[in-house]
Amino acid sequence: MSLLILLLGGICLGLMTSLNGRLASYLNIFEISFIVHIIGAIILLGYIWWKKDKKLCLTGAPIYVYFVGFFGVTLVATSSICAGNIGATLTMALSVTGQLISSAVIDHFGFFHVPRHSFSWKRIPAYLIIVAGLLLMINS
Amino acid sequence: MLIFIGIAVFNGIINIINKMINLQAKLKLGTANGTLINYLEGTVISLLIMLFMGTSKLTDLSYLRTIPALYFFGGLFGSLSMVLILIGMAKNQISYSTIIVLIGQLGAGLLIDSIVTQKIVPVKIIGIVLVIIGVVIDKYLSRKSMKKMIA
Repeated sequence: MSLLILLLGGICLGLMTSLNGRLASYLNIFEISFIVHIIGAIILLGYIWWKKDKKLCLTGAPIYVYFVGFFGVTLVATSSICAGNIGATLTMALSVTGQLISSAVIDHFGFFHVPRHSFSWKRIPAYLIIVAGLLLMINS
Repeated sequence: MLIFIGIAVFNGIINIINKMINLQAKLKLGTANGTLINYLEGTVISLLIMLFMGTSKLTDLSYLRTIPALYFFGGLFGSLSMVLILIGMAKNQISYSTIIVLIGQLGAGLLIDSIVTQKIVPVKIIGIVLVIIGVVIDKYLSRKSMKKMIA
């Protein structure tokens, strides 16, 4: 059951990127970002209000946490503009590659206080398979 | 096309930094409040940029009516995915969860792309399968070396 929930979560994520990409033909990326974020904020505020045990509290986190919105806007804006131009599937596949690379760098150097985990060259064949898949998608 | 390929990879890099900061927010404020900060700030920043840019099409109702209603559901699906992934991840290992989410994500993307372009490209499907296989192998190898390090 929980696997199905995860699969549905992934499908919804894919639908979001695809639909935002379509919307990019009509609205600019910041208008799309505004729609995405305000819907999310309303749903979360509703959830906090509905779950009586959860209280609204936005203070007390490290200062850099309060810059997270810039990243959120950048994420929605860049994925929308890319999905509108090169398609949602390729956008998501390239984004996953970017995530793998940055995770490996963060692990290797121990950024963001994560435990250091040196990069293993044994992972290169996996990256080569991903690159081969991306090249096929780009040229299709 | 090359510029969009670069931007999409950059999107992935930003995604991980965003996740790291969100994790800190969730640790300090709880999942709901930590995520809410992201959405509230995103709303305010987007609104400020829109105001700075001048007129917005969002105030033009007759223009908005020309856009297919379904296209506005992206934000709703995004919020739904956030909730579903949080529930699903609580019951599964993270690396395992990531792969399942990726399959759903790329599958849905392929479906929409095929509907929009009115064609199914087999080479593209092979490409998606290769990307998923690569991610599965990478997750397996990184877990194995992590276990070795702990041992």
